[in-house]
Amino acid sequence: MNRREFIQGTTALSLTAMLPNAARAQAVFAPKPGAWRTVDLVTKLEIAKPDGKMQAWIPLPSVNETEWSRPGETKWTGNAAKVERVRDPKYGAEMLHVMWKDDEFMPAIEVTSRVATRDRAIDLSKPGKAAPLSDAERKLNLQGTELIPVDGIVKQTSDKIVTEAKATTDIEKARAIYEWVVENTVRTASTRGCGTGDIASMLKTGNLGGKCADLNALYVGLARAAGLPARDVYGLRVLPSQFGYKSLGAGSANVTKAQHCRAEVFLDGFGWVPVDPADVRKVMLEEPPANLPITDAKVVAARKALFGAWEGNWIAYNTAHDVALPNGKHPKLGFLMYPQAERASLLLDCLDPDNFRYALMAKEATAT
Amino acid sequence: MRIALTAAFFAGLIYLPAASASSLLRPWVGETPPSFSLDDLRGTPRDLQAFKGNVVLLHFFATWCEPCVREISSLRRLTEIARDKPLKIVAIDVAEVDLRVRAFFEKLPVNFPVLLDRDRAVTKAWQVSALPSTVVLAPDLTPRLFIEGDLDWSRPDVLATIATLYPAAARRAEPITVQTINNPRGETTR
Repeated sequence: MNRREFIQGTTALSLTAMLPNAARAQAVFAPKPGAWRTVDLVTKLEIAKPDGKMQAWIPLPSVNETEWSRPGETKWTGNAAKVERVRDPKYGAEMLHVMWKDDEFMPAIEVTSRVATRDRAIDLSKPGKAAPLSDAERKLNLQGTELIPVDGIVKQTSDKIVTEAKATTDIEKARAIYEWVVENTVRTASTRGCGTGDIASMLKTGNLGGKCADLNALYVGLARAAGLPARDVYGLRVLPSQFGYKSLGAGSANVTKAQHCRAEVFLDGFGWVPVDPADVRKVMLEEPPANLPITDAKVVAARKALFGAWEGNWIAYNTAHDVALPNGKHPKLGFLMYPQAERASLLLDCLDPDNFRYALMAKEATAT
Repeated sequence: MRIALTAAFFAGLIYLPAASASSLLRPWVGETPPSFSLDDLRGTPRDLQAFKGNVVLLHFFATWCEPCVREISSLRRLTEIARDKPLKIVAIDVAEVDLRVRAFFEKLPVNFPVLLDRDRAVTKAWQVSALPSTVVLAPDLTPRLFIEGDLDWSRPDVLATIATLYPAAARRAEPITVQTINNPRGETTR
C-alpha cells in the first residue's frame, strides 16, 4: 500500500468511526428477492443522412429466468419496410431486425419492450437444490470466445489465483477469482462505452483498466479457465438504486448510455450465482465524493454483496458472444448490448448515439 | 500498490508490465506470416507487397486503446525524422467500425496508411494478441523485430535499431551520431 492510499484508507476509517449511526447505516447494499419491478424500455432510433441500404438491429430483453427476469411484450412503430424479431442460434439473444427502403427519407423506428425484474441474492452458506446444468449448457459456458480465450495467459493467471488462494472447492475458486479481479483491476473513466472485453490483451499488457465489459469478462474468462461455467450478462441500468448508490443506478429516465454488463458463475447446488466485480470498482471511482478507497464503508458493503447478489434496477438483454448480425456482412460483434445500424453498407458507430441518433428511455410501469 | 502487487503476482509468467514493455524490441521468432491485402480508410485495397523494398512498421492498434493513441504521435514523428529513408509505417486498426476509425483520423490526421482488419484475420495470422503491437519488417518483408506495448519510435536508440535493417545504400547515409540503449549518457558514438 502506498502512502497516499494508506492516508486515504485511514482517513476514511476515521471519518466512518465518527459518523453517527444513521450516516453509517447508509453504507448498506443488500439486495434481496422481493417485489418485481416492471419497466417499459423505449428505444428510438433514426438513421441520420440516409444513404443506400439501411438496416438496424436492436437488442431485446431476452433473458428469461423465473427468479429475476421476465421479458414481456415488445411493440414497435415506424416507417420500416420490414421488421422481424430474430434470435441468435447459439445463445438465444433476441434482436429486432429492421430494414428500410433505399429511398426512405427519414428512417426511424421506436421499440417498446416491457420487462419485469427483481433483486437476486443467493444463500451461499450451504448448497441448495438448484437444478444442474445440462451438458450442452456446461460446455457452452466453459468454452472460449473470440475475445475470452480460456487457455494461455488466461489459464495461467486463473491457475495462479486459485493456487495462491488455496482454493479447492468451486465456491472457493469462484470467490478467489472475484476478490482478485476486485483488487487488481481498475475502472477507467476514459474507456469508450463499456469496453471491448479483450481479456488476453489486458493480461498480456498488464493494463487491467476498463469498464464492465472488460472487468467482468475477465472474471468470466478466469472462472471458465478454472473449470467453472460462467457467463457475461449484457444489459442496461433502468432505475435508481434503492440502496442510495448513485453509481449503481440510472441517473434519470434517459438511459441511452446506461449499458451495463454483469456476470454469473454456476456453482453446483447453488445454480447461477450473480457476480459483479466491475461494479465494486465503479463504486470506488464514481460513488460521491468519488475516488473512494477500497476500505470505504460503501465499497466494503458493495464488495460483500456483489458476490452472490445484484439489484433488480437493471434489465438483461442476453448472454451472447460473437454475435452475427442477420443479413449483415459485418464481422461478428463481441457482444450485443447497443443498438446497431448500417447505412450504405457501413456500420454506424454504436458508441456515438448522438450522431447515430438513438435514445433509450426507461420508465417503471408498475410495482407488484 | 496495485501495479506492484500485479507484477509480483505474475512473477514467473510471461507477463510484461507496461513500463518495461515500452523499451523492448524483441527479435521475431517463427515463420513469416502470410501476406495480406486490407482496405484503407477510403475502402481502397492495399497490398502489403506494395511496400516491398522498405523497412515496414506493421503497427496494430485500436482507437479505444489509450497507449495506442499515445503512440500515434511518436509514429508521426518517426515519419518526419525518417522521411528520406526507405521506411514505411502501415497502421492496422483491429476490429473497429470503419466510421469510428475514419472519424478518429479526421481529428488526428496521420501521414501513413491506416488499414482496417475488420474481422481480426490479419491480426490473428500475425499472432498479435495485445494492443498496441508492432512488427518491424526487413525490406524483403520478413519480420525481424516485434514489440508488445507502446514505444517512442523517435528515440535515438530505436532509430539506430531500425537503421540496421535499411538496405546497404540507405545505411551508408545514416547519421553517425546516435544514442544507443547501451549508451545511456548519450555520448557520441560511431
